[in-house]
Amino acid sequence: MSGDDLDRSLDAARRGDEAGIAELWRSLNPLILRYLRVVVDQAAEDVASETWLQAAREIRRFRGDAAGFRVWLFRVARHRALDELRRSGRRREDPVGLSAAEDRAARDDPAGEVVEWAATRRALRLIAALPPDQAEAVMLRAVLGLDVAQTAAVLGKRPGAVRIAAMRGLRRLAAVIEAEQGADVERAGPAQAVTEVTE
Amino acid sequence: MKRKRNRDLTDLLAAARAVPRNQDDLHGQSGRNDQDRQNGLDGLDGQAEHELAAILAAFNAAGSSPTAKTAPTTHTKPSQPPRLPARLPGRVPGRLLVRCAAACVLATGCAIVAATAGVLPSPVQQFAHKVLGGIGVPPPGTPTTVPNGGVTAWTTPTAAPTATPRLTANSRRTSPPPSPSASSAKLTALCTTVAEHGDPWRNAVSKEDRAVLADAAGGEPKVVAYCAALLAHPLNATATPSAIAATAIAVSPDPTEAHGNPHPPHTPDPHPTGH
Repeated sequence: MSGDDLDRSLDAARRGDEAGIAELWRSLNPLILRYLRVVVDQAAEDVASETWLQAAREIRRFRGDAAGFRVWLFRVARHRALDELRRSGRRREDPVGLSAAEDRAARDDPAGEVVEWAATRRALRLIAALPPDQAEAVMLRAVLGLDVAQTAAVLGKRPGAVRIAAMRGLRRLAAVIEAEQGADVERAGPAQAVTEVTE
Repeated sequence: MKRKRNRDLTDLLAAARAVPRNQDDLHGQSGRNDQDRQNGLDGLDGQAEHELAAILAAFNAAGSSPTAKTAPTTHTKPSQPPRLPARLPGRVPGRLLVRCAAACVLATGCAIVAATAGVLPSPVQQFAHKVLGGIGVPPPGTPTTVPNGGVTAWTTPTAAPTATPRLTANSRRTSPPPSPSASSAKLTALCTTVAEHGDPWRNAVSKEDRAVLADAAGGEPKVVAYCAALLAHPLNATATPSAIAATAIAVSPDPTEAHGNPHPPHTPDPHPTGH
């Protein structure tokens, strides 16, 4: 859905049109879920539901365009996620988890879907393993496509802090990938190692 | 080496961005037709459908709340948004809460409408309109007037606008409604039964209740009309149908009062607990 479409949906929702908020939910809920999976893991769907309930109650009072709404929505999601973490007294104790989604993929079992989801799962697992501020910055900036100012607004930080957190997160991610591959190469033996290095 | 490292990182981020084909993760991004799009429930699995229905219920309930209809026109600090109840020990799934919230919204919507706005859920309003449409009882979904100060209300099942009453020139002609009494409450209950059963209502009430209804209406043949008028204007339980109709006609509808300012000048706070 384009930005114009989102603007139209937002206007419709503000006028009280159900179709407007339904379209917003269709477009933005997958992004919200993706972000929340990194922050609260298996509670992501519950927290997303709470986020949208609040959005549904307050959207008529929202002023701004679709881009602003997206930022506001992520802020709501983040605060609901923090509430959830506080309630459950933990901070991503099982960042590798994502087991609910894994179960779903296994249940449906089309091979392509499993491979695709496995790659996504690995990516989210690695991002979730970053320090929390870096993980959120990487998710919002590099995965969900918010700009620095928007990410800063969501996280309640200064743009400079967001830039640093994202940069450190990406660097650490790259190092982790390299280390993982190094371990794989060691397991595969010297011949494989040569191939990897000269590639 | 550095190039490879960057490529690996790019691939990883692309994988994180990838939209999975798994419908559960998409929550409703499948193909859909226009009719489904209008309903807002197209192409969704059962779980997502429930979730969207709950969101739409909350959306509609918020639209009919006093704050939404009579939003302030001056810059004010946004009030703290309502919150879902805190989870009970043992972790109640949030989705269950969402569904319960939706059910409560739907269940209480009708009661709130009838109790505070003086209008009725659509089926009953339809009944009232069918019987007394000629003397001013409107069909469901149209603005109607209630004898409590000229506030306009919309007779939709979940709408319960409770705009601050504002006397208009026309509304000043209406007299204050009589206080509801035990007998009027009973009459309202009996009339609800009559409305539910229609013509064969006599079989649905006891002999004593038939007599009560007949007394109030001025004869059994007039009971249906009386009840229709009473249900359309429940605060006038002691009045006759003609008096009720006259009251309805005396007050002119003012739809703008019920809608308030659609664009209040502030952005809601995303967090009610002050993060």
